[in-house]
Amino acid sequence: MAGLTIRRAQKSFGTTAAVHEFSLDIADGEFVTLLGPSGCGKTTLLRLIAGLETLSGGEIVLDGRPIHDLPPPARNIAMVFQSYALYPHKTVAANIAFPLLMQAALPLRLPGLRRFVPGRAALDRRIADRVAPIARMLQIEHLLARKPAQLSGGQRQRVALARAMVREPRLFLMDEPLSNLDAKLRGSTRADIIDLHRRLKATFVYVTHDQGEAMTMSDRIVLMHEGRVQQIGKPLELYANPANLFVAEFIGQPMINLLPLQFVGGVAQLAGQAIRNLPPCLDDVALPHEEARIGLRPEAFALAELGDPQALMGRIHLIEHLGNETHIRISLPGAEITVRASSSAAHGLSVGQPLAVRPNWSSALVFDKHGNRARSAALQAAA
Amino acid sequence: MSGASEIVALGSAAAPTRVRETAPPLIANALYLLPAFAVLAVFFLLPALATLGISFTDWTLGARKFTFVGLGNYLDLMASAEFRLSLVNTLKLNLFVIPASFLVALALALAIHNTVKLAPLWQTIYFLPVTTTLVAMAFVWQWVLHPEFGVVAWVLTGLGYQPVNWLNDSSLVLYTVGFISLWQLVGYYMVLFLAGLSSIPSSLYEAAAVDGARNPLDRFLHVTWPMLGPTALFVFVITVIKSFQIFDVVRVLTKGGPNKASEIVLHTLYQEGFVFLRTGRAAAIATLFFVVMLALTLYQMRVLDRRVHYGMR
Repeated sequence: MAGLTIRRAQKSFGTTAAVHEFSLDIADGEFVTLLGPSGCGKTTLLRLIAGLETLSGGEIVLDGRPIHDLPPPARNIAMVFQSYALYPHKTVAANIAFPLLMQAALPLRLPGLRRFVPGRAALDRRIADRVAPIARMLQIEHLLARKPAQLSGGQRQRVALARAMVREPRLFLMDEPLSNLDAKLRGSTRADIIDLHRRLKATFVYVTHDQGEAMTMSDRIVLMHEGRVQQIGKPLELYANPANLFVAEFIGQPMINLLPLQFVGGVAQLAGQAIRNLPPCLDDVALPHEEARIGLRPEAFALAELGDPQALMGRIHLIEHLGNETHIRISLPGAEITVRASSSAAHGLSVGQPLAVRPNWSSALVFDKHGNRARSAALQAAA
Repeated sequence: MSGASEIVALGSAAAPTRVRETAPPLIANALYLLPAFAVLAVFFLLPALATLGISFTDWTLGARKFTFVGLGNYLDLMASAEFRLSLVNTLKLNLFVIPASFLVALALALAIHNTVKLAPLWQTIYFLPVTTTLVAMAFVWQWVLHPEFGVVAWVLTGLGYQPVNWLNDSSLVLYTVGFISLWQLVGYYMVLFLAGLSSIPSSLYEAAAVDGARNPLDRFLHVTWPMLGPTALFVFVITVIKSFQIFDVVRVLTKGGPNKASEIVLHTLYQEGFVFLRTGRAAAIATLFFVVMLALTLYQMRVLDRRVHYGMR
């Protein structure tokens, strides 16, 4: 089977471990995102795959062939760098052609002297024939004669993509390729990359710290923290069924609400408010865990009548109108939560006003005091 | 002036009160410029003009009168076999020293840049001669190269070779002088190259590696050398200037000998001006030298500048 397999990969710099025993199977043609905050080891892992760092332990197998002992040029992997790393002295055409030029015999690779080498014209024609369709596909045909300094950020990014594509590699590595673009361009380029992945049918390993990018682009997400995998799964799996508190907090915008659950004299208190009839699905999970926390996504609340016995009572602290929806920040006695409401439902609300919200218990997530998911058969059935 | 008055005119329409405050205080500006200009005039411009003037006369140093001889001094120089020899020697010396110092400095910089350990130590060792006084070091070299008592002769004899008379062999003396000058300045060029090398982003080397650049030659030709362009141009210009300035080693060690084999233009100039006191003729040499140097430098800046790429922005 073609694809990328990483087994127990480790990397330490001195005494600091950047990547702890990392294992992952990536299927041929899959789009996998390495996601995490800065310093989580995602870029190190990408550089290990590219061969820009050497493994401290473990192995990396590409298409059934161990590659971790090969130097980068021998791996036939393309990489798009965060800074794009375009050669500033070469034209766009020469930048894109560079990987092909490097496959030629040594005399043909000598700048200047190559014009005297037989076969040069034929090689240049072959290279131009391969550069042209890629430039057309990425709509940078009209820029081929320019130098990178004369390009905008988005254009440079496309040139970097074109340079990666020209060798038709089976594996693309991308290190935060959108982070240097402005917000609007980032949105459209995101779509372009998804489209590109579909057309090339190649394997993509994409690094980002932006959960939105990861959610929208990936087949699977690998969420990392401090060199360790927190969870591997499909985007919606990570969203709906996070393995621990870190995953729950990292995925989702606005962030998940965490409400402390305590038992005072046998009565459950959620964020300081007594819950008269704790939903049965929470009952048996929450009880054994003192100081448990209940995670509820902003959309897991419905606005309710004041005095509703099932509802949490609070006061509106902040209202953010986004047009299509409204985020309402509500101060509860023991926590502050964000509730996502439709613009029409939020119409007429004002800051300082008391508000009741009813949690949708079926999507509630329970975390123990260590931040791990507390699961029960009942909860899983409910989820 | 017209530019300034236009600004005043434009400004007066918009904000008449502020114009008076911001109008260029011409006298004050001129006064600010004066000290620097005076130094430049006294030590560079006036002597240069005086030299040009003297070169058209037969003035000898200290004489009370002189006559204008027009281009006489220049024509004499052109006709003089000695001066032609001096020109040829200067050319030979520079054709050796310029490329040699440039290449040695580049090689040292590349080697040190790629050394993980002890890089600062090597850097210091090669830079040390730059901090010395060449006249003093020339005497040291004289002893190091001495055909009977020198270290080099001792090593050569030990290896079974004949000792070489480095400074008295007319076919070698120019290159010996060139080597001593190179030894003193190569560390300086090396440091300039090192600064250039360290400003090349490592991501370019990584991109080249991923793109399939397999051997060091590819990395050098496609990344290092083009990215080093501005530094290389600067080092080259400095090398040319410094190389044409070689004088002290010749003055101290060979005095142009043996048999005028190390007679170079600057030494001829010194001899004519301060030994034979033929100031007019010396001024003519100085003027020629200045014109050639100016032309060379302008040419380098113009032609090479166009081929050099200056970074992303």
